Amino acid sequence: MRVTPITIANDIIDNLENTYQNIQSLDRQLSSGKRINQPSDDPAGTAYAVDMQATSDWNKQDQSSSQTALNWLQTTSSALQQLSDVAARARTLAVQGANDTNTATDRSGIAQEVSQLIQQVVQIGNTTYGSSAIFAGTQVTTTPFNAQGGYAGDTGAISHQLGPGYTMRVNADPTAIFTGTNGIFTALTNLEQHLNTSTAFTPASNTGTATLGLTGTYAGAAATYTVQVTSVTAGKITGIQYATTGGAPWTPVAGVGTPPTFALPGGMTASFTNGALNPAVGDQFTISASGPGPASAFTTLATKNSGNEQVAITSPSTLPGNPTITVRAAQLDVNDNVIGVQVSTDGGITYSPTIMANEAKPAAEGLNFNATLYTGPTTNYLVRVASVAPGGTPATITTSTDGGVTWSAPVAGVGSPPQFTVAPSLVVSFGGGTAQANDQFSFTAAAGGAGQNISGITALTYPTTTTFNGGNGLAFSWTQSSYNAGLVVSNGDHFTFTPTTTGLGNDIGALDNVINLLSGQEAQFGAQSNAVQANLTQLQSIGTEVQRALSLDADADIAALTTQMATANTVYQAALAVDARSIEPTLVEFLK
Amino acid sequence: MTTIFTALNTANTALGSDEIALETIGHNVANASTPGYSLQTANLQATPPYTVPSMMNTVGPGQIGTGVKVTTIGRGRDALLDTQFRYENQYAGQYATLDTQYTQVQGILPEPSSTGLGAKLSAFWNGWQALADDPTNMGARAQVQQNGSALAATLNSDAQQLTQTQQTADKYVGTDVTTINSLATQIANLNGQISAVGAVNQQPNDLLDQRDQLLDQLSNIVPITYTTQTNGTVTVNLATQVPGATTLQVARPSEAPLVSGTSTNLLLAVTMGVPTYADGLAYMDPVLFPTQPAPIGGTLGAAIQMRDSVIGGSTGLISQLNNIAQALAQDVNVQHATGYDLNGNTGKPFFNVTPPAVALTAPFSAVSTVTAANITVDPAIVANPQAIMAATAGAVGDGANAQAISNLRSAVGAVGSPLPGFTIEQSYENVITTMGANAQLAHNNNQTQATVMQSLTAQRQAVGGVNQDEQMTLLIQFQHSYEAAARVVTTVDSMLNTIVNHMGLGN
Repeated sequence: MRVTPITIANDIIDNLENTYQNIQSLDRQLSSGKRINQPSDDPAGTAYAVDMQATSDWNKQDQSSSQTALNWLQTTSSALQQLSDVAARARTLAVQGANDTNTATDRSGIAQEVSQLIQQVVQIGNTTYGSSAIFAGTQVTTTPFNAQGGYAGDTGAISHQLGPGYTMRVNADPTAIFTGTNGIFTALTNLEQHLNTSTAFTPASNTGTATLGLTGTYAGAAATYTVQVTSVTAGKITGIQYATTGGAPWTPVAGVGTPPTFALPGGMTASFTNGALNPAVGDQFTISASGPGPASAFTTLATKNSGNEQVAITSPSTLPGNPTITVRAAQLDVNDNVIGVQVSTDGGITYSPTIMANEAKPAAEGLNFNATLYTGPTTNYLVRVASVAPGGTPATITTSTDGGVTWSAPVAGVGSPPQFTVAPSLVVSFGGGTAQANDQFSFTAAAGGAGQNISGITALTYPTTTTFNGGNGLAFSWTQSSYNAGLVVSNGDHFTFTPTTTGLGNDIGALDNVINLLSGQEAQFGAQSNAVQANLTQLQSIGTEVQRALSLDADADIAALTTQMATANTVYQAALAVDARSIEPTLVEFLK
Repeated sequence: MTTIFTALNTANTALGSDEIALETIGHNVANASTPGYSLQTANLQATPPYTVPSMMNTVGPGQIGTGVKVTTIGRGRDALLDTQFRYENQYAGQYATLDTQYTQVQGILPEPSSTGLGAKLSAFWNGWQALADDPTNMGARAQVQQNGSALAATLNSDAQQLTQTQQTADKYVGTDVTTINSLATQIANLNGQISAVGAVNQQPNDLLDQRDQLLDQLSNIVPITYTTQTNGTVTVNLATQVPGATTLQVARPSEAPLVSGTSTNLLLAVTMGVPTYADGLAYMDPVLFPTQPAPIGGTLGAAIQMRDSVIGGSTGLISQLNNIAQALAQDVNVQHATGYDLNGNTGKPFFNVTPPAVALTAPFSAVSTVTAANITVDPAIVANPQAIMAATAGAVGDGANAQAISNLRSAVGAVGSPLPGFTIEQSYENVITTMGANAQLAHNNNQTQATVMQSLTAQRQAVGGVNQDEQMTLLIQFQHSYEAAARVVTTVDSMLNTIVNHMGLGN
């Protein structure tokens, strides 16, 4: 082919330009350190690099989230560990407090330490991570617990995303840990209260309920406790205490009765009709109980006053077969009607109707209102004290029709006027106080019922059951009418009873539950921490791999590029040197 | 019989022809570097011979030469090569322009980088997850707002720069059309001169070179077909590719050609935003022709392609960025509005549009008013990051909604949404991949085409280029030829001297 200088020049220009472009491309890669500097360098590689970069950024964010989650979990774990310590200490104190050798002062001292523990729990409950309260549900900006343990947070979950599709709840449920049934606050507050109210057992009188103030559920071992009568007035128990030293056991008078009986759970009702019987104390009756249940537990009696008698016998609600139960007439009224029966345990005398001598009804036997259903309008009624028992307590009251003497201001320090509540069933009761015969009280009857007026308000019985609560929340009761039939108790007599309620003993069990709950939570958070830690390690490993892939995709191979650059430079230099010579000479130069 | 003067005359023709040949060589050497110049050659031919008459017999030496003459000044040009050159030249122009323009566009969407939209998107989603971990942290809230603003600003800036590039392409269209019109006018003028020279049976070599040069230039801007008429004029038409073949056909057969004889049918550029012609062009005269196939080649075709389909148009980059902006605003706003901010408010958008006068309203789906150019973070959130609705329920420590927004990064657009079947990041990657692949194709095409053009130029040079060595050799050749002819004259002169001064005078 014919070649002209322009052809050569064009070739040189094109080739130099190509070489220079190559050098520029290599230079760009070398100076940026990136193989891909614009999408056209490698379109698929660019998309991959963008994708990998996003994956890498996301991975870093997941790592950051995992780290935050880990910190939450570890902060929570640490707080739970502290709570466990508090609970363990509280349990030690509860065991100490339950020791009978403690006086009220001792217990009060222990209660003060428990109070300190409660404040410690409040402080732990207000633990924060960063500025967020960890035991507040999602109300992280609140201070969740006040000094009394009141909770201001919620139960909301805080979840962190630790990886694609992997979320984890990082906060605990504060209500379960603190204020729930097995919450540490619940247990500590009960413990403190029980320690503070654990005073000596000193029933005030036989007219009401003597209470130690210890309430709660007994969780101690099933055991038989002994109480000791401390005072007797007119043959009635007026004082009792938790016996620790023994004393003379109570011996029943033969054929007369058994020791006071005590309430048992369950219920069964037996009845008999007084009719033409003419029973005597000690007579025995046989009644049939229906319903299944363990007969051995069938040891209780209840009593009923005269009239169409209902004998209520409480027992386990289930009885096997139809056992035959023997009861004994334990009390007669002035008309020789049976007003008290009891389960016969000693056989006794088989019933043979005989006329007994009239017995004087004890003056302070009790008052009984037999009121029929009231349906009249809301009206004030007047009642009159009909008799007064020793000590000034109203013994009988009747409805007042003639006015009588109006009740004057109560004697200072004794009590307020009796309060009568007339509901549709018209039960009227009154508290203690000093009253005179013919004193009048007013009460308000509420509207409703079947349209009858109040009538026949006759008397009010004493409470049929007197309950004493023993030390450590133990309680027992006896039925008053049963011993009035002839039961004689002396100071120092012992009775046995089975506890049904509890106090400090329960606190120990409650704290055990708290400790179990806390260790369960600790274990759970520990496991979560481990999982997050493992996740974090995995994320870091993935992150490294992603970075490596990104580097392989987008980073320049410096060694190869440097070699190529050197080659390109050499080619360029050589081309310049050679081209400079090939352009110049033509035949013109030689035609001189 | 011949006379001695015949020989003198013969030598004389040689002297004249050699002078013309030398002049031609001089012209060639002078134009060795002139663009579009083709090698000229003095074509020599022996003059008709003279038969010597004889009274004696017919036996004689036969015909005797009478000398030499220059018949034509030849022009080194290959019409087929020209056609091929101009066919390839449209692609050279197209690819070169595309390559340049794509370089600009790639500068606007710099990937992979830590400053491009990809990095901004990634940071945006991550910010939400960080907020989910600590929703009461004002720093995390501010970060989410900043990330959102940066993302919106990047979209705004990308859209604005793409629009500028589109406007630049629009200016290229205008410039190209102006150049086409100028070239067409010049070609028409040359047509007039060439036909005038041709009418007197002369060869207008240099005018033809000029016209061929103009045709070369024109073919770089727009595909053309041309035919040379018998009177020497050339008729030029805009052309399109024949489907499935490597030849061109007249693009608008129903219209007058761009150049016909000395008349022209000039073009009018339809600028951006004027809704008319498929190819963005209309003839100035006659009035307007609305639907014509677009010229796809040449720098003009590339500029129109860049303006109307690569950057603009329903599938152009701006449109794709708009889709991303819409999907972003729609997805994030709908989720955001279900949450609660630190003050218990709900139902507000995260993204909005500028100016706020056309602010979005609930339920924030189907937000066709959002574009890449106008997307912005809601002013209420910019004013106070507490207004970011991170909580699903009302509680302050609840970051579930922020997490839900962060999880939108994996959400694939539903059918009928702006980005059906893709996540936002995937869509952006698709944009980058497609653009990168097209840019790479344009660049590779440009390189390949440059090689093709180089080869064709070399072939043209082979036919019509001036080689100084060759011309020098010819120069010496004709110089010697001239000297030889002069020697013949001298010899004849000597012979005449012999005859006149020394013959038959008895000396």
